[in-house]
Amino acid sequence: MRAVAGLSRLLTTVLQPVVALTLFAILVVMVADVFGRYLFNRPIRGAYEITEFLMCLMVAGALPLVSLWGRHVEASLVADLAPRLTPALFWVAGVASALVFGYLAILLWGYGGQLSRQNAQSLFGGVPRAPFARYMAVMCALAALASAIALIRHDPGPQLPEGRDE
Amino acid sequence: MTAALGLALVFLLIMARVPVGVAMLGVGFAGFAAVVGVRPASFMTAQTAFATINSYSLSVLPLFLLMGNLINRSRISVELYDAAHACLGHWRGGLAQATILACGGFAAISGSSMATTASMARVAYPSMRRYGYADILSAGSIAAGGTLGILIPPSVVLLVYGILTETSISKLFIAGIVPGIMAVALYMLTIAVIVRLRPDWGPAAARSDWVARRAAVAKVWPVLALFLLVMGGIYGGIFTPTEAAGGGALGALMFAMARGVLTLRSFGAVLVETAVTSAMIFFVIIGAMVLGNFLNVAGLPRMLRELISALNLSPLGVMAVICLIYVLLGMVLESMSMILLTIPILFPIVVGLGFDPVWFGILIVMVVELALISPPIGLNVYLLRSVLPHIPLRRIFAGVFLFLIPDLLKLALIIAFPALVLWLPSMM
Repeated sequence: MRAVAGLSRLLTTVLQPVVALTLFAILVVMVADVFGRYLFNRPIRGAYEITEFLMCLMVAGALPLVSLWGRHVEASLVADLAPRLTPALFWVAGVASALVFGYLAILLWGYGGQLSRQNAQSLFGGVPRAPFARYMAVMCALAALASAIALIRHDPGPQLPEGRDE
Repeated sequence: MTAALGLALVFLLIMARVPVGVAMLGVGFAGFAAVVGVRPASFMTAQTAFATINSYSLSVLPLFLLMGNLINRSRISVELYDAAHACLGHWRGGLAQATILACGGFAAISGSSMATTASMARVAYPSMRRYGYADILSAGSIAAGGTLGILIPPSVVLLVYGILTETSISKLFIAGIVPGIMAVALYMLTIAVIVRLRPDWGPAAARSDWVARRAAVAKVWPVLALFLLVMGGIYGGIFTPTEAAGGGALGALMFAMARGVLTLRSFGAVLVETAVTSAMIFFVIIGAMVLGNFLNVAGLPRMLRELISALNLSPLGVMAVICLIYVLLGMVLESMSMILLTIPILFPIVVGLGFDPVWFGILIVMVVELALISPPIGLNVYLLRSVLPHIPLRRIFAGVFLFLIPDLLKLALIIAFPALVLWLPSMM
């Protein structure tokens, strides 16, 4: 159990800064590009592709956190109507999530190999595409792991306070 | 047959509380593999996931979410409500009217109806309670006003619809303006009628003088400025939606910083929250796309077209059936799953019948609004209950019931007069 807690802490400690910084970087690139273009007629070279790469880092990087904190979009009708089924359904959902994320990781890893063989690159900077597919594969594998962790260890994650109550 | 089986399985899994994205992606992949083969299915699934995430234009989603989260954090809802209160509070039912108006204002800079409901409930309810408003009216006006969050642009639901169907997000946002104003007007009219029939439900509050009114209204200028920056920029063709989202997020960031509500730590928390919500939505979008590809190769759109012509339904008849399906689905599914599950099935038919995709997008949002407040799921109602735990659920639903009439009227108007939706985007 302690190992599981450590693993989950490791995931959040590493991934939270990654997704926060990449999202902030997306904002900075977007704003700098727009300002550069409209005010000085000098857009950022490759802003389009930089944003694509940052999006990949951010969205895929946040997937394990979504699984770990149980933030996936889900319906709750059966669970509400038949509370006794809830624990069983919880396991069905967790195992299905782990399996689907695990398989998606395998598919994306294979896709990365394909991109690498085709030497697929971004148009502007010639940045190879394959490492990004492989990064997504790793993150999906971590999301599968996080789904499994969430089965045995409940962690709702940080709650964002709002409104007048603060 | 495969398509029907697949759909039934997705539905079953979702009901069994399997995450919506997992259910759609799993069944979509397996179905595609059964129809075309495992290799093409693997390629299709991986490529869909890769292309959806590695996308410049889809950065519009996290950026608008960031703007909304920062706005939420900055507690502008307080000023919005105070301003509306100062102007309308002295009328009978005026505080409920003020709630609707403030919700509309909040919705104009936030794309989420949950955020609108939660933040307005905390601000508006105590004041209505102080002046002796009936819970049924105050809860109803907050829950109904909260649904404006997804109709008045920017709107997360319209964004997701635009992404999935490749419909212009600029046009969708602009198209939401007139129905949004209509919704505010109809809700306010409903309140006026209610307090005319039951004056004790919404007694008049103290009158503010003009100085106080001007001071209160002056404080909401950042909301107006942000809305004009984002929507004006999109409407004038100055910004793409992605650029407007970036500008809006920057504006919201500067605003939150100026109000001194943002520390480095809380900004980090907002960024993480936004990234997590984005990833959650992106994963469901990928699932919906994979499922849509499967349903396509399994020939579902063709089968449905044949069914429609066999039943000899007119396009409006089909639309009525679609609305009915949404109302029924709204009883068992929450809004995001409902849209993502149905769009891949219904969108090709709707467009094939000659309906405008922008108009259909607005129509869908309105039906989802209904689902947000109708029993037994009604997400907004449950959210309201968690914020105001002392009001019985039955009374909240009763309050909401009063606002179903303007909602249905609005829906009928949009169906009868599509120009209400399409006029503004046609001027772009």
